[in-house]
Amino acid sequence: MNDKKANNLIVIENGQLKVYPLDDKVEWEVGRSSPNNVPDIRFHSVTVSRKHGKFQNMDGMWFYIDYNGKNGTVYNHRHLEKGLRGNVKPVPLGDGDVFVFGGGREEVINHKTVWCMFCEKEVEENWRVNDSKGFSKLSFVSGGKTNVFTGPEKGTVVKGENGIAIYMGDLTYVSGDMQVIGEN
Amino acid sequence: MDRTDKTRYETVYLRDEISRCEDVFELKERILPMLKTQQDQWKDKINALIGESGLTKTRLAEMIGVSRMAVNKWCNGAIPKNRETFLRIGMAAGYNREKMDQLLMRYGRYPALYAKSLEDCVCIYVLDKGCKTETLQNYDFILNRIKENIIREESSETEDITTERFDEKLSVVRDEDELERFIAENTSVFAMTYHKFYAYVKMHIKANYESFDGNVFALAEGQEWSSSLRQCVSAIRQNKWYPTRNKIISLGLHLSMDHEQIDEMLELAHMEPLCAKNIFESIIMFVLDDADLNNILDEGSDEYDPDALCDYAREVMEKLDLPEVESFITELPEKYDE
Repeated sequence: MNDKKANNLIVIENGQLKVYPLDDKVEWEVGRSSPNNVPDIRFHSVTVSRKHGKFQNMDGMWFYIDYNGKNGTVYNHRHLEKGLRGNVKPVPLGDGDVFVFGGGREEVINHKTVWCMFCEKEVEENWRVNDSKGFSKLSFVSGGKTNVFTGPEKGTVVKGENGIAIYMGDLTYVSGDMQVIGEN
Repeated sequence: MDRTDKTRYETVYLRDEISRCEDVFELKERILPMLKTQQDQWKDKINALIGESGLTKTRLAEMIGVSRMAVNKWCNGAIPKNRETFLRIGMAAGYNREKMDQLLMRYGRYPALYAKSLEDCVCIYVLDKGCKTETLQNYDFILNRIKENIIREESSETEDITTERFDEKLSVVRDEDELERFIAENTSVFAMTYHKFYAYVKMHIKANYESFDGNVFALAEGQEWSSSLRQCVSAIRQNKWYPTRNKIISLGLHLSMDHEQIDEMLELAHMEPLCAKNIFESIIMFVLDDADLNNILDEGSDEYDPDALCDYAREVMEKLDLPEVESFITELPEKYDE
């Protein structure tokens, strides 16, 4: 990750990480793909609606618009609700905003739900996957600085000067200058 | 409990009391008497300010550029009409930045000083220099000089800089020449001051008003919004509106936004969220909470009435019959009986 301005969406679903360069298009439909429905950001989890929501650019600013289906979206630990009279409530996005799709009203992070993070900086496409299964304590080392977490929660994001790590339980996704050291 | 904690506690307490309020009569009889009106607060403030500053009313009027009669009206509770006047009053009184922010937010219901706005940037510079009685004079001189010398250009490339970092850079500016260079180098930042606010309004309209093809101007015309609000909408389309607090609230009601969305707009315009300590805003909070909890806008109805929230706000305000909301009621559309 470097400081160059670029809007990206990091998606982790069922152990797979993918980066979507949002600036390539003005609008990105989000949903579960089916023969009749091919959204721009395609998920496979059955807990995600076919037409779940969309990311949309307005005058250079990114928004997420939820279609408020039964499968739910949690944004920064808060379930997204409809507005008055069922109005759509666009969510203005900022760097590091996190979504969990398909977990109902709760922020459930598991193999059935989809975890996403909006980034306003350029993100590398090449990510390393570290096995973090069974470690009770993790040290994240970047640019000579170390951040230590005891029993981190799934979805913990650690940003270093030139690197980033996303802890998802058994697996930790790492990009750039970042090392993960586990201890029992 | 220090003063800040006490204020926060009182605000949270009032916020909870409003959300528990059963009806408009309970709001009027039990909640509103707990609040001091904005006019009363302002009257106390301006009289204290004149006493502390040692300025006569005539001298204060001269410095600010208003008539002595206007100052007299303020001393009797009339609130200055715009943010610029509050800025000038604070500078004439020799306020520092903290007191200026308090004056703007608590008494004017305006945003605090914001370094990424050109006028505020110059104001912060002169306040930080601590010129006291010369502050306002220096502000006028520097601002005029900068406006004359700098040609505002549409810049395509905007430096991504946080407000905190921008504040830091401004704080090390040493003199007027350096300030002018600083401003010239950051014209694109000043142009972006309310960019996020404009984008939010446009996005809301695009997402919710398909029948008007996302065109809020057509909506505003079709629903006969007040001419002042139509002007705001037109200015937002051109990214030129300088948002004021009550107009943002009015816009939110006209666009059927809920409490959270109106707070979002205020935040994007660099203002505090709706405040339970203000009589007018406590009524708005009641209207929004009640509309949400009791499905006042009738989500299940097939007939779409874009004025439903405004109509309900008008109904509540008319029942309360308070001077604090009189001017706002005129902003809301008249309800026609069929």
